[in-house]
Amino acid sequence: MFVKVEPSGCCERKGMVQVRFCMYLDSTDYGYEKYHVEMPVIPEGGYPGKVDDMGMPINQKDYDRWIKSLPKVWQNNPFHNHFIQAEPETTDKEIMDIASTFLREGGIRWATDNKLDLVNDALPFKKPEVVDATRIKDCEVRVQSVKAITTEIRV
Amino acid sequence: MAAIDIGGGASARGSYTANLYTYVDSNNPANDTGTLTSFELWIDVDGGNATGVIVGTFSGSGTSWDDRDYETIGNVTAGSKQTFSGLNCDVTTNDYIGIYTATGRFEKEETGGAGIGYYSGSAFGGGAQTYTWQTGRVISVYGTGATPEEFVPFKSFYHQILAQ
Repeated sequence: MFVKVEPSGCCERKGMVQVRFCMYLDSTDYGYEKYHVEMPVIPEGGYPGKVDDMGMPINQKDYDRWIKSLPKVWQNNPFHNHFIQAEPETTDKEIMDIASTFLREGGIRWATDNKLDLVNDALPFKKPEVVDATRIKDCEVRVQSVKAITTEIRV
Repeated sequence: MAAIDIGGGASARGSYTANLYTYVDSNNPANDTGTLTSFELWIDVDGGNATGVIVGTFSGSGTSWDDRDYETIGNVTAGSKQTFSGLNCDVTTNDYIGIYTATGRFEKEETGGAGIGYYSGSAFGGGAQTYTWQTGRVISVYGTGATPEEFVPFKSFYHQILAQ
C-alpha cells in the first residue's frame, strides 16, 4: 500500500496548512477489489440526449443505454483519505513522515476491519491564537509548495 | 465526550444529484453540538470522478439555510465509499449536512428519505440562501464527530481529590 499528497484537498484552513493524504492498496493487499472499480469513459461533452434545467437526463432509459454503451476502464480508488492541519513551517519531510505513520495505522485498521477514524491528537502542531492576514498569506504560500509534493511512500 | 452523527449514510443508491448545485440534506440532523472529524461520501460511478467537493453543516428553517462551517475535500473518486478523517467542522444540534460538487454527482435515493433542498451554485461561505425542497430524497453523505471534552475546573478537581 502507498500514500501520497492529494493537491485538490490542500488549502489554508483556520490559520493552518490543511494537507490531504490519499492511501491506496496494492493488488496483493487485503480487500483490494473493494476499491478497484470499473468506470465508463465519459466522452467530452457528456450525454448527447436532452437534459432538464439541472442537467439531468429527461429520458432515463435512454441515458442508461448510453452509459452501458460506453467503453470501461479500471480505476484504483483510495481506501482512505486523511487530513492534517500543519504549521506553515512544517517541512516536506515532516509532512511525508506523518503520511507514512498514518498509512501504517490506516493499513492495520483496514486489515483488521476496524473503523478508519484516524485522529491528529498526537501531532505537535499548535493552532495560532490570532489568525490575521499575515498568517493566512503564509499558509497560502506554503499550500502551493505542499501541492507540489509528488513523493509516494510505500509500506 | 459524546458521539455525534449527521446525514443518511454513504452507499450506492438508485439515483444521483446534479453537479454545480449545493444540496442540504435533512436526513438524520446532528444529534449534538461539537466537531465533526470524519465524513463518508459515495460518488456515482456513471457520473465520473468528482472535483471541487465541499461538505459542511447548515442551520436554518423553511427554505432559508446558511452554512455554519465547511471542509474543502477536493477531488473524490467515484464508485466506492470514500472516507475522510482528521477534519474539524463545527456542528450544532439539529444542523443538516450539505454538499457541493463542481463535476461528478453524489449517489441519491428518490424516495424513503426525509428530503433535500437544492441551490444553484456553491452556497458555502455565501451566507443564507433560499433552497428548493424535494421530499423523500436522501443523499449519500454522512459525518461523525464528538462533543467537546468536559472541562473540569481546578477547584472542582481539587475538591474531588480531597474527598477521596
